[in-house]
Amino acid sequence: MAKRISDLRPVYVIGVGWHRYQPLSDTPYVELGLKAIRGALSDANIEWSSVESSYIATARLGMAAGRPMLRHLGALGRPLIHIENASASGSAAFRQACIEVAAGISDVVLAVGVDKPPSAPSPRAQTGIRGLADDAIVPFTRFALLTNEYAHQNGIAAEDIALVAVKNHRNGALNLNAQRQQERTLAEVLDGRKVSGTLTSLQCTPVGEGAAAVIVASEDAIKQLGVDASRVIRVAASAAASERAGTARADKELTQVVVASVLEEARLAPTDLDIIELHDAFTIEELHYAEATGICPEGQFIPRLKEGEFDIGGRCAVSPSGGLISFGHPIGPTGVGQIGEIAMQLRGEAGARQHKNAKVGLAHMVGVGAVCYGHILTRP
Amino acid sequence: MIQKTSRPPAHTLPLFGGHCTCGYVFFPMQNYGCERCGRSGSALQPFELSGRGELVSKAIVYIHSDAKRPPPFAVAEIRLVEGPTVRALLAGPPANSPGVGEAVMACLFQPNPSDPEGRLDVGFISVGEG
Repeated sequence: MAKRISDLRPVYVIGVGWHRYQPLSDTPYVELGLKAIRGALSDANIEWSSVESSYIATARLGMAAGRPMLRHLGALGRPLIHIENASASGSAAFRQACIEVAAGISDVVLAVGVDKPPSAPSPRAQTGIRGLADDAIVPFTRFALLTNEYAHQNGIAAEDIALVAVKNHRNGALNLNAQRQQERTLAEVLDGRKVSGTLTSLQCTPVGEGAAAVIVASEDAIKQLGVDASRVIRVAASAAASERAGTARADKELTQVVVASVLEEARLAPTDLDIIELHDAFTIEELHYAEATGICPEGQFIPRLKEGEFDIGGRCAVSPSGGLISFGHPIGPTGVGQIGEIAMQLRGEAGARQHKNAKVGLAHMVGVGAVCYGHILTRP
Repeated sequence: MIQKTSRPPAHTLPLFGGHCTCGYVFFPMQNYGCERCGRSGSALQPFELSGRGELVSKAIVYIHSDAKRPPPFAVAEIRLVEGPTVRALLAGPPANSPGVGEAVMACLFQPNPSDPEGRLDVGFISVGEG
């Protein structure tokens, strides 16, 4: 009978760290990754020698990128493996790290995401199956089409959908690790460069590089290593799924299934969520996935956004980090960075971005495939 | 009566999809295996689709990296009458494209007027324009 991580040993996030997400630069990926990992080790107050195994999430660095980076922390001979699941690479690495601790195989595991975009777009492997206009329709156009459909079905204006970007840029302006740290007015968002449909450039995630690291551990390790137990965050639930045949709105159905699963595992309702970090690569995605979690009925996200319900300080802070739109989406790091943000919120250490009294957070991620991951973190 | 344009009337283009013995209809045709039931081999057979459907959503693309397909151009998501949903180009000027919910049909058109080889591509137009 299949188990969930909550059936096994409890798992805790004990340390988080980042290298700021930023446009492509000359900084080698090794430097990006080491900064994030050292940040997480320092945050957890443990030594590298306590980490027993590492999951390295990267979508773009190519084969075997991990050890050339990890060796500089001390080449101690511990196992490492690379994880790729498109946008969800980091979330997948985090889930695998949690499974390893929950199953008792290790007591302390690192999940680190690190990526640099290529200077030319890298094509995906050809499957031999061609649609009618595959080369004409890239991800931002898929979401421009979704924006058109949603606006039409729910009677919501494209200008109102752009309000998601205003909120997320405002949150990201308070995040020192964000790629874009500038508040934007609605006019600035709408008047920006047209990308596809009604999507303008500030409504779309930027291309960039960066790194994020999270360390997870068992209760035994927390005690033995003297980790500050008042700062650890419980991983209450974890779920993953992939697209089923014949689903017209695969990302939405996946989100519904995965989020229902983690809420059920954690014995919580959507109304219990204080924080949501989701895959908002395009403004339309925030409403699409948020509604799929059940925090509000379909078509209602924008009216409630206008009332401040999803701001930091509102009923449920959605994308308090700035989300993919403002924090950024270097790919490998993204899902790991979401976990780090939620952990800081639940500890009360999010500073200017603090959502008061945050106790429960949901991390949601989708990736090309489509695949979907959900994690619920709680303050013990 | 003088024709206002010299564009020839469009004919509905059939699309070549597939059908599985489990009943699943898909586009394009492929022989790898049925996404619904996993059968392969002779269980998957070519199946001609009418090329007609309903426009679900549309967008004008403003940024595109391939010089052979210069923007702006219009694309759409179309639910074909036989069941599959496809994403495709819209034929004709972006500003004048069919609206959401309209009946559309596949045709051949020249997407890039400055293509010296005059290559054609599959696009969708309002059924009324046929």
